[in-house]
Amino acid sequence: MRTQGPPKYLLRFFKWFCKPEIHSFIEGDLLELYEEREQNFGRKKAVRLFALDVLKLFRLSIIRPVRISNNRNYLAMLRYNMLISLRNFKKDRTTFLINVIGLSTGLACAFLIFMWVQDELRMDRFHEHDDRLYQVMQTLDLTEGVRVVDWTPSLLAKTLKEDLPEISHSVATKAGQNRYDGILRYEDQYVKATPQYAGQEYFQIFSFPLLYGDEREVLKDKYATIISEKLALKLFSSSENAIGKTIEWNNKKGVDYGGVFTITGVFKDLPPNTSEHFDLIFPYDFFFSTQSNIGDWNNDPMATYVLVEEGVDINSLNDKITNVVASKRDYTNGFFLKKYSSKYLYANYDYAEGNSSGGRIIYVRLFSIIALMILLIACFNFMNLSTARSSTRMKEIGVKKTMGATRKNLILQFVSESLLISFIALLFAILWLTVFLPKFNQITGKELQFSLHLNLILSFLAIALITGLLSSSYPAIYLSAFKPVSVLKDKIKSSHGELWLRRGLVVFQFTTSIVLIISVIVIYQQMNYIQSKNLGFDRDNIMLLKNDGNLPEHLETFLSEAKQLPGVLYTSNSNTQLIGNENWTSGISWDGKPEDQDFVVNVITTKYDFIETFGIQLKSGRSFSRDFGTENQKLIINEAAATGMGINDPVGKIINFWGQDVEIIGLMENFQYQSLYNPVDPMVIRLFDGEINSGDCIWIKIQSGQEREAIEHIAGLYDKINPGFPFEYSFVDESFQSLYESEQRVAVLSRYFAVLAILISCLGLFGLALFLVEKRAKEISVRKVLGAKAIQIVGLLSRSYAKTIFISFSIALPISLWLASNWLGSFEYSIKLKWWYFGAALLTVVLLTWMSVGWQTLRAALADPIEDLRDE
Amino acid sequence: MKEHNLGEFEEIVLLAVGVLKGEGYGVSIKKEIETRGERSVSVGALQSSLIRLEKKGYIKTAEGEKTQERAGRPKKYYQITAYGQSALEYKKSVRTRFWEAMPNIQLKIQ
Repeated sequence: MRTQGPPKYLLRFFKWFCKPEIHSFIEGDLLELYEEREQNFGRKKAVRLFALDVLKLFRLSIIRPVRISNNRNYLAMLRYNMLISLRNFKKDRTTFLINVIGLSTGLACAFLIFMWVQDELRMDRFHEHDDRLYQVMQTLDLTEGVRVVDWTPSLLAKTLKEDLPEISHSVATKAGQNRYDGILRYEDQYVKATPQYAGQEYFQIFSFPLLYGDEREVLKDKYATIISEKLALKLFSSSENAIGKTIEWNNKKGVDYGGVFTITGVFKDLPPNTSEHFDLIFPYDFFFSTQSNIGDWNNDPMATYVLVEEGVDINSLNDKITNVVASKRDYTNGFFLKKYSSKYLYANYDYAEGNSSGGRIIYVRLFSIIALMILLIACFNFMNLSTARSSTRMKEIGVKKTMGATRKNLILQFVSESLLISFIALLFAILWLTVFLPKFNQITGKELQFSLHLNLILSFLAIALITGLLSSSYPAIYLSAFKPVSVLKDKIKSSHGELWLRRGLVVFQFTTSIVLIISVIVIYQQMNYIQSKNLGFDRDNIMLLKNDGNLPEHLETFLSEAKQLPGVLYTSNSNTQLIGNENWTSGISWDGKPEDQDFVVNVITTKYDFIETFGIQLKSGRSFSRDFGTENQKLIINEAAATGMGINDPVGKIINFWGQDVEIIGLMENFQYQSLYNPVDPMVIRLFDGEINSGDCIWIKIQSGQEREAIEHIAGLYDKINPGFPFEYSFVDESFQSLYESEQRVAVLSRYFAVLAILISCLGLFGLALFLVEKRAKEISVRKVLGAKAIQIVGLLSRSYAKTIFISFSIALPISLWLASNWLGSFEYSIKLKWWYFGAALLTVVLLTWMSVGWQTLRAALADPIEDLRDE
Repeated sequence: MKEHNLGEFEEIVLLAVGVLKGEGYGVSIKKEIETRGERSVSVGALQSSLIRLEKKGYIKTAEGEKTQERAGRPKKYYQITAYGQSALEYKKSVRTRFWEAMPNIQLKIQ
């Protein structure tokens, strides 16, 4: 039987490192051993042993020596090269400075973004079972499109674990962002805290370490609670002391989900790389008991997280989950599992198909590209300057070559020179980094830290190395190719190709800069538009107070007394925020509701005067009024809800809401209460009258111009009811802005990066112009002597730059048009692109170019021709 | 007298070369060490040790014929030199001297 023989690459590898004179004997031994082993143990094991043998042959006495024997003065040469480099830097300080400033800025940008991207990518990925951790998502097939949501029926978690063997653990938590801070009381200490409501297996699914308490037991009891280490230290001065203590949570008459709880565990403060935020957790069972129709499968109040068994096919599991829910409720929605850790970066779904449409990942990509561009711009400066200035090095190269230097030697020299610069730049970049990191953190809302981590240092070194190699690649090849004879005879002329390349690099720099400027303008215009857009309600001068402390008991008094204060127009109360509200229900039905289609509305429960406080326009019907006795069975809906239900004239119609027949008394005009990415969603407003239930939010509309006075009065009133409580308030327009937090950050960041890109480009241009003017000094002088006017010379020198800018602009225009319309297209309401955005960008670039080039040309044009002509 | 500088593993290799009486080459020496010396040895360790021994003059080599079984690769035969022989004898005599001086030790258990 003929054997196949060991893998070729291993033989080749061995041949590569083995001393040639002993290679064939050892190879013979290896082959003999291999054949014997193959017969005894089979090929697989034989190959493995063979590879091991080859690896073990890698020893000093067997590997071939590195061949440096033909230049023993290798080190001397390197040292000498270094010296020449340093002399060159000294001789030409401007170029050196431009290179170092440009490269270090570019590197610093790259480092900042590198750290940021790494942080973003690591978000939520630290959980032990990350690869099996999923969230259940629901696809709603609505009349206006498809909507993917993360709310699910409250019993889903439990049912899934019982019915499907593929699911090993499951937990339900309260869905959405509608979790309001509450007040925690221990003896006479009051602390504000953010709650979470979660089922028993929470800590088995999520890897938030517990300092005290057993992860299986802590949430078992209905009145148990787990608090954070920070909270424990604040209230009990040690986390150990906290165990077994009894605390009161929102324990006031008329407040939802309040009670007395016993602390059963303390968890370690949440790490910065989690998207969850809460200070304490209450059991799911408790939450369940506070809500009346929470167990209804038609309601979706909870988020559901599951751990699947290993090796489970997610697609078929999705179908099973869909079927489980379909068997419990009257209509069918699609359910699917989404990787929990992908939620942070890929949160968005489009309306048309319900497909994933990105999310924060877009910004991660965007900024990676921007960082790369800035670094490239800096590299190109280096390339441009060193090739342009090649004439100053020609003699050196010529002499070296005639003395016997090979092309390799010269390439090495130039590469080491640029590596030297890039490592000097690296040091400065790290300096910039430490200086600007706090500011960067503030803009991005991160807690990045520069530490001497091995990985980080290695990445930085690698980036600097690549930058150095990249920027030296062209100059090294170009400069080392000079023929010594022509160089020494001064016969080198710039070739066409070289000029074109240099111009091409400048065009790239300017194209990038122009695209960045246009993007910044577009982003700012859009953000401005959003801030000032008429949303259909009045968001100015509305104060938001939290309904806590003694307020819930005295709410009616507070509302009516506050309304009497000078400067106060209206007061009201509701259970949730208006802006960004996501309090969905599908518990609505009417005569003629299609069987197969789902309909969900946002619901807000308010007291009187809510519509007046927010200045919401009514299309028909009326607002809630005290004149009509109790109005708890009445609803006000918006146009989107009316259209969605297919009712043309809804006022006066009776529909079924949460199992009761209610009358629609008013129709609101559509107003934009969510982010402008979305169309207006259906909304209903219902009233709660009486003292039992009151919502978290107290709204006070203040007359404009009297804000300060009014706030003082309100503070006084607040202090009477809640003595000792801090008077904390916010304004509605602020919470509106927080909807666009990430856009704001992008706007600020892109502005900084655009400025940097332009500055580095102009810096390069400045260096180039300085040099070219110097080089053409004689020509200019001769022209002047022959009668050229200064203005003509300026024109002559500026012409090529004008051309470059024009070309760059015509490339940048379509790119930025495409980018801008794409980005704006993701908003439901957006600005129209105007020509002046592009004009302004062009003007900026022209002005900046002229500032960096013009001064040089002007100086050259005004110089006394004798100065340049007499030295020959 | 520190005339001979022979490591423990080198000694074993040298012994194996001696045992094979000039017929030893890479694989056969390796097998000799593995069977008689009751220890496993990698090709790399063996080769680097052989190179060292040759440099010290303890062994000499001869290039063998090319055979079919080794895909045409030649064998390199190793033979112990007189100098190598004396090194082995020296090593042995040093040990013998120590053994002769060794008192009868009884291993006490507890």
